[in-house]
Amino acid sequence: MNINSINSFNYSQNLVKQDGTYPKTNYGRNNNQVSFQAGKKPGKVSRFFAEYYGKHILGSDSMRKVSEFLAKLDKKGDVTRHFQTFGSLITSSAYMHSTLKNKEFDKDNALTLAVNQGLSFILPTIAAYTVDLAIRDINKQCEYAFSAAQEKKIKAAKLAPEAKQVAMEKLGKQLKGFRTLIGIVTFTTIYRYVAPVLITPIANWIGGKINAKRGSKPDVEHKIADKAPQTERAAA
Amino acid sequence: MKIHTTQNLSSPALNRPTNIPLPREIRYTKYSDGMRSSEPEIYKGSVSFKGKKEIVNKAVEAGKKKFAERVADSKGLKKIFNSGSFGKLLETTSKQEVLINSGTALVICTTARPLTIMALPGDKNKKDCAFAAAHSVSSGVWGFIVPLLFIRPLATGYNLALKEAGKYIKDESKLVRMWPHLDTASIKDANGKRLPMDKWLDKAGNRFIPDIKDVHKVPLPKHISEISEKTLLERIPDLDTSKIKTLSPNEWVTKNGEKVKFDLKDIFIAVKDSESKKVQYFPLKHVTEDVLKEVYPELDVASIKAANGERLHPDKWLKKDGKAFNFDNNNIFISDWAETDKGIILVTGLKRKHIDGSIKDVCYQKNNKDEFSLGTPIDEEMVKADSVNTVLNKLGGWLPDLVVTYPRATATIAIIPFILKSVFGIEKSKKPKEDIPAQDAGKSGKVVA
Repeated sequence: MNINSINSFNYSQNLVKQDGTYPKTNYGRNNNQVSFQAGKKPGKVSRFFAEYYGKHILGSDSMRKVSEFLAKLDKKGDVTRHFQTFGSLITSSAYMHSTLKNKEFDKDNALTLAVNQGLSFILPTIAAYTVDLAIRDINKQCEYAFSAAQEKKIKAAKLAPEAKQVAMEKLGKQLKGFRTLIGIVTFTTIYRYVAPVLITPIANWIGGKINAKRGSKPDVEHKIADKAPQTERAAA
Repeated sequence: MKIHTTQNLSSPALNRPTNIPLPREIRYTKYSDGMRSSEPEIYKGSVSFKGKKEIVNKAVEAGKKKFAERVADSKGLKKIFNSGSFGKLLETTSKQEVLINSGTALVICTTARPLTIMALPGDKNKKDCAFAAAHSVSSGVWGFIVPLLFIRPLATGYNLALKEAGKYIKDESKLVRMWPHLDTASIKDANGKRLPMDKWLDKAGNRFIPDIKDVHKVPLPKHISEISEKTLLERIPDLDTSKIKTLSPNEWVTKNGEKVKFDLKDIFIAVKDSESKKVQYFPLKHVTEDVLKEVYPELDVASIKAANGERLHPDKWLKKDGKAFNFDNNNIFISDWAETDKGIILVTGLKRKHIDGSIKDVCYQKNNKDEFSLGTPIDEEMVKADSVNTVLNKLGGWLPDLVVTYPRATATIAIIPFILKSVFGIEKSKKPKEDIPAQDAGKSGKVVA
């Protein structure tokens, strides 16, 4: 029997009812189930993109070289965070560019707003990496706890070797997802919620200071001061 | 040449002198080589030993839990970890990072942010707050639609190509580049036709696992004196349990009065570093001879294996002077999920030299043939390939998203205020000419768009 032969069925088992050996643990409730469904058969769209996209990325020498380069830069395997940050940088650049070429603003005013938008990328990014670093240990311990809980369930379910293999492979994917998910939630929360609510006022303040050092005309400062709360509220 | 198959500790790989590089760059050093401590990494199993190694013959005192451990141990999180939907979310995250990223943004932008905006109006009027809230919601929705419709199918296609790499990648050298442990001879049948990937083998002769760092873990071993009667009886069915609470494990007997003998595969030993006080656990069946030599200096390591190389039960071990070794049952630790909620990565004392020069424990893949054997050892070459694979696999999903980020942001600037005004009749109270592009995206990066 190979793995494919069990792909089609979904197995779940209540450990306590079946096993009854772990009354002291915290895992003996209704949620205590282990399931292993190996996934649906890929459709035509997936096949199409596998053929015309996935295959070429996977086998590409240049993509491999880029990945090797990025892997050397990122020893911790947190590359998802960097992709999020890079995407954020591109988006902020789009907004800065849009501001700078907006003919409705005079030059000084547009520049100050662009600086503000740039700071609105830089400050949250620093905050996101700082928070991510601060909760790294918690993340790791949670991952260990999740992994142990799942392995315990798989062991207690007394699965056939093939089924156990599927369940373990699924757990491997879940663990990869675990590491990624925490980073995504951290960065997105900071970029999408904390930044507009807390960080924008700071960016506005710094932008104002920079503007003041540049010796802005009073009317420009006035306009910026007038816009700052709007920006903050709109962003929030 | 196979490096190291499963439990055969007398394999050539383990008997080689330590100054000679092993096949496929598995290297191991003696415990006394001054291992440097570092943060334990789940897959890298960094070495924590600095001082002299001592065998532990009593229950290991549970140290005070770190804050992170207390958080991970909380009831609320345990409930989440055991929920099926959380498992599905994690699985989806591993395959569709971009979608989960935009989904997270969607949740925030449609709930927390608009609620905060409306709850904290500050010096703004209601109309501006409504505009800001509506902008937040629409940017979240727009930011989710694009990945859902355009990025997800590409990421799915990439995942499929990866899952069926044997079908999509014809060049064997590219397969080996991704998976240096792959035995290319095993991927074809007698007629030269590619076999399905679940039929492939690695160079150690084990089932091929493409996820290189999916490591073998075991329940945290507990000292024999702490093990429940039920678990003990599973291992020694005729154990006389009437005196196990009062007698030393060396004095435990069966109901027939014979001395208790635990199976070799059930025994773990705990080794403590005299300096750092850290404890590592090793299965007695697989622990390297170097570790045994250090913790049992009187042991004749030549006596611990049979003629066929299989490790013998410690009852048969001898001292250097030829006398019986008399293994101390107080050294026994038992690893069983019934006794713990914590898992540890299985290590045997085998070491590898990491790319940064540090010495790491060798971990094992989950392709062990049975519960008590070892899977394929993860060597340095595999670790390096895996780190590149990880980046490439993530790039397969993120690349199209990063490509469309700029035009998407530009479209957001132009479209959202227009839609809010023309469809929902929501606009800022200010004059249109003073409007500026929503900072929104500036902060959120990925975001808005």
